[in-house]
Amino acid sequence: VLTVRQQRVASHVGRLTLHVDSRARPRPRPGYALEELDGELVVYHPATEAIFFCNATAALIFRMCDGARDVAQISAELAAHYPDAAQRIAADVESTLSRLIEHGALEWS
Amino acid sequence: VVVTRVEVAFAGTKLAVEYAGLVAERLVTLLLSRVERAPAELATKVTLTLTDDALLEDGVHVVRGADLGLLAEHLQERIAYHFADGCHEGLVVHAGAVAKDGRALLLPAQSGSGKSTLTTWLSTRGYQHMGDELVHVSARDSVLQGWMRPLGIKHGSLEVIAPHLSRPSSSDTWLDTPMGAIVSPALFSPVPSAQSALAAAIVFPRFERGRPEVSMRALSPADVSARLLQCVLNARHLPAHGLTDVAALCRRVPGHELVYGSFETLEGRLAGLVT
Repeated sequence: VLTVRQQRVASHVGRLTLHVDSRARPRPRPGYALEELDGELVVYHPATEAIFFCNATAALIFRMCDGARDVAQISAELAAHYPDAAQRIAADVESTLSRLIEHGALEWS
Repeated sequence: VVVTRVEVAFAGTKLAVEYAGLVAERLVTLLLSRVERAPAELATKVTLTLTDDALLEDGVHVVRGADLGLLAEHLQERIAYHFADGCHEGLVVHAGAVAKDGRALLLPAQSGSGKSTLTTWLSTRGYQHMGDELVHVSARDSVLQGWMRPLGIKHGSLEVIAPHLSRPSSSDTWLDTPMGAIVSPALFSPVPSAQSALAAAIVFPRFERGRPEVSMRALSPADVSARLLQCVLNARHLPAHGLTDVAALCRRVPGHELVYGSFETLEGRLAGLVT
């Protein structure tokens, strides 16, 4: 889901899952540049040189992190749109958010 | 002392190299004979001075010592830095590139990924060598221009590529260095080098010693963009730090991840990308 500029950091991607509070409201950290290609995202922060690749699922979750929705709302909206995947959506959201936060793309509002 | 001056350019940046002495002359011939000569109207970014036992940059010592390989590596490093730093239009990518029939493969990679090894091997197989370190990419029209330095092959890569090269008796085309060797493409490439060509595909190579099979998989444009952005060296000079240009390129040019442990079957997999 994610790649970052420093390979040593990338080696940790996917291994760590931080605790995510379902009432917390994630939002993008200021200063990020975004580019959408075929429904996927490249997220780049010039100051930290962090580069994130978000596949279509991660891009959708990232787009919903507007500082107004909390984690539970994001999961609920996605589950309503994708009922077939509802069972695993909360875990996917939590995992994706923890990685984006871990690497500094998101912060809590 | 007779001082000779050559002015070389890459991606709109001009550097002057002044040298004196027979040893320095031999080094400059190996390193710079194929690099584009600079037009007079360009301003000189920096002057590098090479003697038989020192390298200076605008009069300040970079390195002292009579080790030719060491001087060569430092000279290459300073040239690469200034060529990348001086470019404010288009992308300067840490990459190799080869071309066939005017269509090029861009091979971006971090150091140690096997970029020079693959570039060298492809050059022995009928591809035109374009460069193995810096490639300028015009995001507007996808044209690649390589820095036409000789190949820099590290010790680990030399073991892999050595069976495909025959080492010459003279040092005009081969120079041992602390990190490996600097080798002129004229030594092994049956076709002349190409200065520029249209990008046909972007391939991210990774050499894995002992891997029996070749793996190549197509990447999505966003995945290619994220990987390519990691290899852009002049990002700080570009609007949106190069992200807009990278994305524009990756919308037009397909990208692949290549993992290989030997050259067998590799040629056929790559040939389809440039036809």
